[in-house]
Amino acid sequence: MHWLASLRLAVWAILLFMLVVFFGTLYQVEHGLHAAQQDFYYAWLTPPISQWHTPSDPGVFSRLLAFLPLPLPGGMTLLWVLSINLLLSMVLKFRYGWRNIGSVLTHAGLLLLLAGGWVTHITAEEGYLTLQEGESSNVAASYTQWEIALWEGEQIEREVYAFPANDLKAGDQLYFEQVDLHLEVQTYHRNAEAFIDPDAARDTFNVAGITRLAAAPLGKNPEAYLPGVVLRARMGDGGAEGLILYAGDPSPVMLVVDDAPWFLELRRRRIPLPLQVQLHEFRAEFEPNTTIPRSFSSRINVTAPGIDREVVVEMNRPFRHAGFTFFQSSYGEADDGSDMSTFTVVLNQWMLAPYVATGVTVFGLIVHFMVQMLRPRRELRREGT
Amino acid sequence: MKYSMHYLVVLLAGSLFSLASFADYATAEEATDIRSKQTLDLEVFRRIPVLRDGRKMPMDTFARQQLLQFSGRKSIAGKSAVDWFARVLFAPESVRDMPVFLLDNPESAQALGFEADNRARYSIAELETDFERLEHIVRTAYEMEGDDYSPVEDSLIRLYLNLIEYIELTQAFSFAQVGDPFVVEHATLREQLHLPEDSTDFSFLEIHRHGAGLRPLMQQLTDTPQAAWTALDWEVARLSMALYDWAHHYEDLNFAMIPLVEAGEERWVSAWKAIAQHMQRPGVSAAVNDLHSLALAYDQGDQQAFDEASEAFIQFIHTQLPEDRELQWTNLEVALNKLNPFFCSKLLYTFAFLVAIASLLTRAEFREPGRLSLTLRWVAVGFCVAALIPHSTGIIMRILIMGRPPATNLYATFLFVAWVGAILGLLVESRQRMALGVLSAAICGLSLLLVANYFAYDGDTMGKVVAVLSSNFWLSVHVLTITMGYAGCVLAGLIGHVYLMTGCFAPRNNTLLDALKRALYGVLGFGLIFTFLGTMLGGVWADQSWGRFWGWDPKENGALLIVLWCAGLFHAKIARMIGDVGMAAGSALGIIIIMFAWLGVNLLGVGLHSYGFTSGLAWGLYLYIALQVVLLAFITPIARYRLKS
Repeated sequence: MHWLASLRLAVWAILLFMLVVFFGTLYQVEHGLHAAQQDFYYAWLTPPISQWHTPSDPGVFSRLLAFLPLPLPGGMTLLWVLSINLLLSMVLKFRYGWRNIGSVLTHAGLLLLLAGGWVTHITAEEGYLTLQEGESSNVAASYTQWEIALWEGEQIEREVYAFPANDLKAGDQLYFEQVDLHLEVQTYHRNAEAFIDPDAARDTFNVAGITRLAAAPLGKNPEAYLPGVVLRARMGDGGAEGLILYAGDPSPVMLVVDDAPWFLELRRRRIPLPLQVQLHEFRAEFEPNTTIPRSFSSRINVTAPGIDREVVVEMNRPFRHAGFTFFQSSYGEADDGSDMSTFTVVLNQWMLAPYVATGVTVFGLIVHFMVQMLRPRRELRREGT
Repeated sequence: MKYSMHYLVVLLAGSLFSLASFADYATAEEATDIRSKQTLDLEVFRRIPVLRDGRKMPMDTFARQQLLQFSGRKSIAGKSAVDWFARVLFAPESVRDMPVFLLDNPESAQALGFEADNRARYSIAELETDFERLEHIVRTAYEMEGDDYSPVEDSLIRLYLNLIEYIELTQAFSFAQVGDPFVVEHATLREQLHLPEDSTDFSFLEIHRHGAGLRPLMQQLTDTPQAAWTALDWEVARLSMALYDWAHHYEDLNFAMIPLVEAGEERWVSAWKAIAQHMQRPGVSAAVNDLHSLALAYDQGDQQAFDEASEAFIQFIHTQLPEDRELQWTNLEVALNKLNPFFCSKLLYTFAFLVAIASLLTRAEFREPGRLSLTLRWVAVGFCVAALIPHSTGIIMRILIMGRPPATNLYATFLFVAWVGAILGLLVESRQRMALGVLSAAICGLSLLLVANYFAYDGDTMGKVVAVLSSNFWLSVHVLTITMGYAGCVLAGLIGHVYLMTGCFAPRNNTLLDALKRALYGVLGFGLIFTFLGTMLGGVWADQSWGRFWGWDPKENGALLIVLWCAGLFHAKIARMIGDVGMAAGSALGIIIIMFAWLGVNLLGVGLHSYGFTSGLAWGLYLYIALQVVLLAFITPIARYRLKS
């Protein structure tokens, strides 16, 4: 156990983590931020070094190392090693006393930072909400998460049943008990292209008449992926039918069950919000005679039980409520010429952790270095006399 | 890229160049009359506020930026930029043969049919001769999808856009120039239009002012068959057509000098636009007249009239925008341009560096510091403090002018880090009094100011920042702390170098080595605290504006690397994996990591912070890294060996 708490392990882990961060940053140039996160920072193992290099990669270093088929330990591994090392050394090795208070505080703060980062990584949700002036909504849509959703009727307030649809694979079974609907996944593409072959046999159903899906290349930006899935659908004891759901479909599939209309759709995962948001007005200001933005701001009205008031959301000034944070992130123009505003919506209950951790760590560092700076001076004087 | 914005401009360019011939109003007489113009003093003129890229700046800075954009230089043929610029505006003929336009690629010069004569700059007269060829190249490039042009095409497109901009500038004051179309020989017509009796040559504006008189005359003409027109009638028709043509052609020129406020929104228009559309607004007509007198006074070499017109026009801008913050500081910016404080600092840091070296050398000779060494140390400190005076003044002036903390772009961060580094070095000096702190301070100040100089050629160093950065609070706390961290780490790296050098050349001098070691620990600790704090505050800011504390953006990663490196060094030292030499070499290597975080991630050209992308910089950075590694690979083992034995 002792080596797990050793300083040497910490130094090696820090060095390796530096390599992962450095090469991950270079990797991002070619593969995009999302891939760098998945393959380096949040990975247990990085891809083998020989695979970092792609023909157009400008990275000199990865080219120099391209003959090595070995992977590095990923950021996830190293951060766990560092966390465990830190925790164990604090339990087993630290000498607690006034002289070490700075060091203890520093490391306690770092532990909190790592814990907060991990919880955020696991639990935080991020989505967006686009509103036209006058429009209002109480659900945000995820940037990257998808779902197969089912609901009854066309009223605005409705109960929705949904399965996550990001990691579907052939053979997966989905069962909506509300309408006794069995869905079996035949093929699934994270990013799909859809084709309408006029001559194809009409044995699969799709709202837009799509007859075939094909995998599209996974670009740098997962927000732009349009997934698609080919299903075998069976309702009750009826026969199985082919069904294609595609993220680019114009409207949901309608099923009639006991004379009531039900709808089925592959859509961005919805994040229900604890309040109703209505956009009053969006304003963009620019520096004179240029397109350099000076400020973006949205005047919104928020309503929830006990709340009904106006809020202004602008750059660097988000609106927070019940763990949710609304940021001004984008804007556009609707077909009728009115402004549209897009908010990024983040749900993160541990938002405060890094703030506290930073304070504790920095305070600890200052105390530590002050103590260090003062101590040897005294010793030196003693030597002198 | 911004080229797409200019696409329309390019389409218009054909017509503009036909205009160029139209604008050849400058007569040979004028071209010989340069001597009087040369002596004109531009002190008031250079203070006129002008808008460029959303920022109000004095004409002086505008001229510098314009010249920098065209030629990559800050002065031309021994003349200041504003001197050249005044000629471009008021006497374009006199600068026709000046080699202004930079073609940084020899292939670009070949493409335009110039002999390969190693010249980098060409005059408008040379470039005009085969303009179709350039136009053809640019059109072909634009027909391609996307904007991934080859370096040659890229430089030619830039040249093309620069030429258009230049021609527009030469025409900005054409309304005030006496031109052929506005010669009124006919005395009766002059009388009817209430034009002065004693002159026949007028400018567009002078005729335009009396345009009301022309209108009824034109009215009569439309009712008369052309066959019955008299010579006077023809003259009236010609004059009206000329007025119409000129107004129409020049209306969309770019050089916006006249600020208007409409519904609380500020918009600047060119003088031509103002003449065409906004003359009835209060003050505008008088302001256009001021500009007219300005051009006239320049033409006649009338200093007093020139200054009075400049002064009146400055006054007009202030009345148009009474509350404007930037306008209050334009005079200070002129002073900043004139003082060139960072140049003085560089000079003084150089002296401080040399004297500090001398102090150390005289000291190493005798082990104990002698009188000479002590005196030299005080002189070095004196130079270093003296260098800090213009350095601080410059930074403070920039803060006042921009109204922003001194860290809005790479140039500014280098100025600031140099400043913090120099002060930290002096603090070390004040504790240790061994000329080591002042030596590090001088190296830090000098080298970082030299790097900053490189970025001064990138364009406006006080340009507007995008909305997300426009929070002064976060900009201050985040960027200032992180750059203070950079300063600490850079200074620690420099002290590491000095330690290794001392280890090589004076391995027995324990007092010196011990002092260096302690300085290194203190400064590296300072660096670690501030980089950590700065990085985390960056996270807090990101959390405030994007909703995530950490996003693995290259700039964030770069800062993280510095923190990890410093922390790794301290831990390795405590674990006895490295000794004092390792600590010194590690801090020295740390400078490479700082440079990667500071510049390298901008070179990658991805992420949210890539505001300072500069391709020529890459080679400088690689060269530096190579030299640094070679140097350390050489001196570290020697220092280690000599310190052991």
